[in-house]
Amino acid sequence: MLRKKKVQMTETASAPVPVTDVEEYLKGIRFQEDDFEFQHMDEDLIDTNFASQSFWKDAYMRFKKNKGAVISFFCILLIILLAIVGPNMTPYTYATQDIKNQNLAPRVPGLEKLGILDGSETVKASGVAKKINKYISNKKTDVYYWFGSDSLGRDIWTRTWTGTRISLYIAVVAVLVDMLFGLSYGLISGYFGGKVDMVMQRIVEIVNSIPTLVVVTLMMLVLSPGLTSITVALIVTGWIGMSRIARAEMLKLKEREFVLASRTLGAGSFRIIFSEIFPNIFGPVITQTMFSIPHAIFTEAFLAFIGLGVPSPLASLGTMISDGYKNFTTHPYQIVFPLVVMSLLMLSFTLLADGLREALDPKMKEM
Amino acid sequence: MKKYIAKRMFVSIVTILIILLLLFCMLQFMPGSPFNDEKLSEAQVQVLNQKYGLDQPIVVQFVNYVKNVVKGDFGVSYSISKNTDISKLLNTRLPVSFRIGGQAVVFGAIIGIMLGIAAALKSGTWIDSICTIVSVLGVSLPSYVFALAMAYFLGYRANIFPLLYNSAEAFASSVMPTIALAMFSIATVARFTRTELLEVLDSDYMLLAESKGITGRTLIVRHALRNALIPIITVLAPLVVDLMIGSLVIEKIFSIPGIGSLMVTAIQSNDYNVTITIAFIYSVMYIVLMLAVDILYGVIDPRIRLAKE
Repeated sequence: MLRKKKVQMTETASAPVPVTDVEEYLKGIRFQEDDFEFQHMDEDLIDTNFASQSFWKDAYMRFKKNKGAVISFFCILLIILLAIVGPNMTPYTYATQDIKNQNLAPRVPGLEKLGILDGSETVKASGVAKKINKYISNKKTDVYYWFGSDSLGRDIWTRTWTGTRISLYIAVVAVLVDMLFGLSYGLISGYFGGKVDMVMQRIVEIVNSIPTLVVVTLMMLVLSPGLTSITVALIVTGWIGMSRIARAEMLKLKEREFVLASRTLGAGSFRIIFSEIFPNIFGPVITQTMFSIPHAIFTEAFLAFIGLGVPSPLASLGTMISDGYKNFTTHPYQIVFPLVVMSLLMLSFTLLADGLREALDPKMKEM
Repeated sequence: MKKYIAKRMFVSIVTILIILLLLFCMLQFMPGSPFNDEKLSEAQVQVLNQKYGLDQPIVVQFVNYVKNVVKGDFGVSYSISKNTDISKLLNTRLPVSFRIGGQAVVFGAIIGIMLGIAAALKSGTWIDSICTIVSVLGVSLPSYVFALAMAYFLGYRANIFPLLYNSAEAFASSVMPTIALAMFSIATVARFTRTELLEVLDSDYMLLAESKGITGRTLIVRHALRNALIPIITVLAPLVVDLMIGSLVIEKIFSIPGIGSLMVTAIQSNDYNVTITIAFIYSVMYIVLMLAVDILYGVIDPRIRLAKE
């Protein structure tokens, strides 16, 4: 790159004359060799803003910018980690009962010396608030319940993280249902069109016009409450959202040239659907999957709340909340921990899904 | 337009019939019969079956069942309050549920729209951030989180509102359930309003209106809001349904004598007839709402009407 450094004016005329001819004017100017110097010779100039990058790298850059989504991602990782190791960190199992140790407030070794989580709780008796510590009054100074114990003397820390495992299992089920049922249903309905699409869409319309939770509740009445029934209920109701997205994307793509090219080369329907079109709709599919996770976790918690959760002594976050709410004014710690973990889990998945949507599909309008 | 409405109504009626058929089958498959008293002899059971039409072919039974439902006769409760007509049970409970649900819809829609408008007009400021936080929390947390938090802090600690429903002070005790139920609506409506309004504000016709010299309130209210608020009708109907479902849990937490808490009790005491009746009521409400929204939307926005005809 050349840049003009200085121009030596060798003009002899003292008074400026109006320029009439450019050629004539330039004749009077003489450039010398060192008037110009090279710039940026030793730098590599790369357009960082508009450099071509692979789709995934691009998505990763956009995702990284979204602080909420990144924090949520690590929050989910932390919860998964605690769900794996948490139940093994205490001497109790989720079903260990000790009726002598019922309704003890949270007490954590180390922290108790700082005056927080030291096992004391405020009890309101006949209108007067009083602070008591049942660990001391019951002479149980070597017992620790990190999150407290419930009305049957079971350790809430262990139960919370065992329950989190169930919520995470529900999350996996939701993803599988979306991928296996919803995706295939939508892709097939959209690809074949015509009568197939008509029939399949009428089915969706009818299933969709019954409120999901009514279907789930009625199913749970027929099947007996338990993890299997919850799974079945999620399979029956969970696929509709995804099938809609997949069908809409399929309708958008199936007339495109690359599909025609593939068909001309002799590809069958199965190959076109799953190896030509599916990779192209990956973004919206992942986003929709992530959104269905909090919904599935909520469904489980809802079922637990109306008494159709996993049977005791097994604990899920939903059943713990529904047990804890019965005496949440006297022992709030029994409900706070499962409630906070579940809220964090649902919030994180929602924010993560939001972040992924923006990262994978920047064209989509912000909702 | 008439053709479209007729078609939609036909589909809705078919759906309701299919739901009835499903519920009817479910009743058939449920364990036990209405006459499981061991003292009854074979002959007596037969007489009873004849009396209630249970010896007829299943198709005839179904037709009778539909006829009864249309008349508002859902049979009797099995275990909650034995042999009481379900319609009698519902009579006192429906108004309570409807009132709290109605309050929540109106409150949620108004607050949501106002929050959304404020966020869109002042986009990028702290009002916008508040709107974002409220909508993220409201959408991702279940309503009982808010209900329990409010019950603990406002009801138990501060003693501002009654902790449990009390028909003597019906309004004061409906405040917390209403807010808890409305949180999801507020969040969804606010988010939707904000997006729609931002899009409208950015459109060419707003530029035209501005260049004609329309400013301030007239510009926002007559030109922007009118167009931005139309799509909100579509989110309101699913919201009402979420609200009905949320009411199951909320009514249980605050001990509200509505149909939600009745359904929870019925589920827990295996009263199939009551459970199925309430499920049916929820489904019908949902279908009617969807129908109403579709028709309303067709009336307001001619593009929909033309596309669907």
